[in-house]
Amino acid sequence: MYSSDPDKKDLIEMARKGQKQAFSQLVKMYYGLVMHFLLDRGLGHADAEDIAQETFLKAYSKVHQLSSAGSFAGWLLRIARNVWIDRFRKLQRQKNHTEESDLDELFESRSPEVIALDNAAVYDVYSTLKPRETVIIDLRVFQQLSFSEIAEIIGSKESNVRLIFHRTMKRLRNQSKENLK
Amino acid sequence: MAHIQTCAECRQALASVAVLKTLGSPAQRMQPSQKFLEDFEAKAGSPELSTGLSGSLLPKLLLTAILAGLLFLGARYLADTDTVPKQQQTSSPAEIEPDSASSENTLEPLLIEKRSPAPVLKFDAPDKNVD
Repeated sequence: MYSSDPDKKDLIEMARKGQKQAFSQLVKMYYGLVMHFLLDRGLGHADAEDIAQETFLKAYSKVHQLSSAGSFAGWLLRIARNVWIDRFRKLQRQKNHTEESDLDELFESRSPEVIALDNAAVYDVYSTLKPRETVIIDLRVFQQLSFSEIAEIIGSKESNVRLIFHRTMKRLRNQSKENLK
Repeated sequence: MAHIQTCAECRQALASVAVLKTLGSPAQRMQPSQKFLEDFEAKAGSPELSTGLSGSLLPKLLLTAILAGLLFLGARYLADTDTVPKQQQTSSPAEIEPDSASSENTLEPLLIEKRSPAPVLKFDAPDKNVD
């Protein structure tokens, strides 16, 4: 089971057979998830997009290895995490070597896009979601992954993921109620 | 099911999930730029990046080559084992019957010992002394 969405399943199957156009469609579908996942790591938009590009290229070159039993979103985010770790290590080595700049200065804390999203109009119930909350909501509700799988992917505790999910859902519910008033 | 009918909290949670599903994933609000997609298409099409198809073909080709090699070796081994008994059948009598030259060489010392004359007494027979 790749996903509950049959279109995605077909696209993944076509991509596995080497169809680049099908994979490009998947890039459009999963770009937001990968970006939010990377923004949650504290990356700026430009760095996150750079790593997202590398993630999709790696995924494209390895899509034939994808097990049909796994989740495509989970697999993609694992690749994104590995690419991010590799990049982080490289930067750390450079930092240790040259001791010129602090790593924290290399990444912006939040991209303007995320800030814009956070400050968006109230009618949009998603506007207040933080990148981590977005990733958790997407993986839980739309990709139907278990809490333990999500915890493993984002590198957090299962109890923490459950807590964030339930808090976010409650907040979205309250926000929806307020919007209806 | 009965729990959901009685528990307002869970009913609300399920309703929220249903609402979210109609709204779509919050992650999909962020879409890639045209430049991002063009870059991806260009890099994915570059020869340095091994595509999924060629990546999957290479191990298959290697496996086929290894299997073909193993089959060839197996066939050759079988062919060898078929010829060995025939050789053994033809050569076995010769091996069992020792070579005439070699038998002479090995048995000669024994034959010489057997053919050697009886020992000659150094003293006279005892009956000559009795008188």
